[in-house]
Amino acid sequence: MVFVEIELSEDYWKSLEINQSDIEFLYAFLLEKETPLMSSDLAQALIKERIRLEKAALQKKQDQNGEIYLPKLVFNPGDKIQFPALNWLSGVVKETHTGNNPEYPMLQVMTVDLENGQTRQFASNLEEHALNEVSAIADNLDDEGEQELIKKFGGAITKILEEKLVEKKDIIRIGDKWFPKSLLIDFNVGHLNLAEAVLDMHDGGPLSVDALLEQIDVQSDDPEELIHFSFNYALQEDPRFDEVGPSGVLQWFLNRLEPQPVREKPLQLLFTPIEYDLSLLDKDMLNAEQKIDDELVAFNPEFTRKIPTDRVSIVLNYPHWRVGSIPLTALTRPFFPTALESPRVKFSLIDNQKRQISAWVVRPYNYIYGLRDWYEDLELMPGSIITIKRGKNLGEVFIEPQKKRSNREWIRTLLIGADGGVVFALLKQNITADFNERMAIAIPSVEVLDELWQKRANNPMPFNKSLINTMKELAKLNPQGHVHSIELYSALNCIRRCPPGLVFSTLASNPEFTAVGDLYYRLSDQS
Amino acid sequence: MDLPRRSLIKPKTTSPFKIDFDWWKNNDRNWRVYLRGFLCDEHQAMFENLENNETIDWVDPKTAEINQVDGLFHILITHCAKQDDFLNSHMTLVDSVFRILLSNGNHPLTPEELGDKLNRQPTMILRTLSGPRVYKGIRPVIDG
Repeated sequence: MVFVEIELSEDYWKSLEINQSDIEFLYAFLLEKETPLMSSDLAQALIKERIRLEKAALQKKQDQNGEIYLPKLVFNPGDKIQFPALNWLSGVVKETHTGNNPEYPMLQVMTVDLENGQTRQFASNLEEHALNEVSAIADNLDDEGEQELIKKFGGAITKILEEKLVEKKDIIRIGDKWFPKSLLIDFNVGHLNLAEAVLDMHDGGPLSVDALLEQIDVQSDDPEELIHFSFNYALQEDPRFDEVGPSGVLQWFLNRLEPQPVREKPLQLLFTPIEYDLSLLDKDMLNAEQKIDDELVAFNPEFTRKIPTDRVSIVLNYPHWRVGSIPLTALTRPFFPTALESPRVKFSLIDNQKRQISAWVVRPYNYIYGLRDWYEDLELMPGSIITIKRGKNLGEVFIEPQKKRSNREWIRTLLIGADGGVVFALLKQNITADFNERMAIAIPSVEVLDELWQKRANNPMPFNKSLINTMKELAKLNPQGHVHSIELYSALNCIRRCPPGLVFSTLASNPEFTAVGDLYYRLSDQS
Repeated sequence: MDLPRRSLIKPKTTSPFKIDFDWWKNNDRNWRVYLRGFLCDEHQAMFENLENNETIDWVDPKTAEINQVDGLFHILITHCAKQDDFLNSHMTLVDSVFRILLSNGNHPLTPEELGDKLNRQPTMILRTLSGPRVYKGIRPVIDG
């Protein structure tokens, strides 16, 4: 025998399905390594194993089916041959004769009865043919070829493998690593109580298992990585602990010490869904909708804003200003850390005074929480523009208000009458940061407005009524009674949470509003 | 339904043309001798002892399987007609078209495509090839 030629086609890897034998192999592989491994490491091991299995299968076939056909060899009648280039079809040489080809004077032609019943002719005694070179390919697959395959298909196979492993209950995942559940080191409730106490001493966290294990006496001869993995798993399974690290970093926090708005959506950000029809919006409205920084706006790639890649400026609406949050939109999301599975990620923002602001990425609700004090310190208001920048170091996020010289300007101001009614007036206000004129609204009595939100949460007003009332109040500030759609959205969000699409579609479809151009509306005469 | 008579269909610059070897067989008994003249120097020498209509054992470059093919025609189309000097700018229009069709494996080409390759007006090529006289067996391909 000359060699085993293995040439697994691209299709083989592209259409690879993970079967039970593969899972059993990976299970045994992890047992042997005694350490948790990343999905990509497992995929690499699987590719190597599949190549080994295919090689073994071909070797077996070769052993059974005779000499491998190389055109340079000479065969005799009765010889058994197999043809790698014909998907390992085998056959028996029936006769040979001298070939007729002026280019190859030494050519021999042999007639072969193939196992599939066909009789075909093949060249022999032919030195110049590509099939004579295939042994080199076989050798390459041991090292370079294998690496080439891993480089080319490793990513896709990792993804398929992860999907399959997630279904398996006996192999568990922590972060991006996997290990058989039955082989984990057992941590008891005592260890977990100690971890809780340590986190309690650190205001809830976040701390890594390294830091936790340093303060908990754990006696074990097992590999350190397995101890960490097992402890991470024990913490994950206990509802007292939340994993709050960004992608690739496991950090633990005490659930009970997490701020309330991190665990539950605050009232001001809570939109009780009302169906609306976006197809009612014209192009200008859709464009305006996409320019509003609101997590309730569904991203529409047709109206993408062109922004630099290293910074983004957003305009605060009242709910985010009140809660101390930043909306996570298609534009802002790339600037903040994320996680594979953790719903909440703890991180720090750095402002232009180099102050660190402890913040949370609240992934399920699409906002960043933790800026209430910062907004108050800087005397920002709804409509203020803040800029978010990427730092030089990975995971660093900078935040600063858009600069403006402090002065006093006429600003729409929300006032609440003694009867609980909301009115808007143009009043002079102190301005500390640049703002968006349509979104800007000063709120002198936040506490009174909070009470109004609380009251209306229990007894909500119909949306149309809220919209008309707000429109009536805003119309008083303009001699023509015209109100811009974005001003209306901003003002309405001071008293109830709603997405711009709902405001715009109501304006476009409700006869009580009349369009007067450039996204301005007035109340219709019958209103 | 009345169908147009094929012989009356007038070729256009988008009509495909190819070498009709049946025309050669009917009009020139020595056509293979003529074809031999197109072989490159290397194959002129190699095929010196080959009969004009002899088949050879052609070796498949991927599988090394043997197939019997028309030796002269096969080597002309697969090798000699692919050489850089097979075409040059001093040839007549008809010679150039004949050689382009050979280098294209005698797959049909339209006067527009031929015009692109030869940098000549497609209408002039069409006028030459669609006249009453058939040059070197180059004729329009008739569907059906």
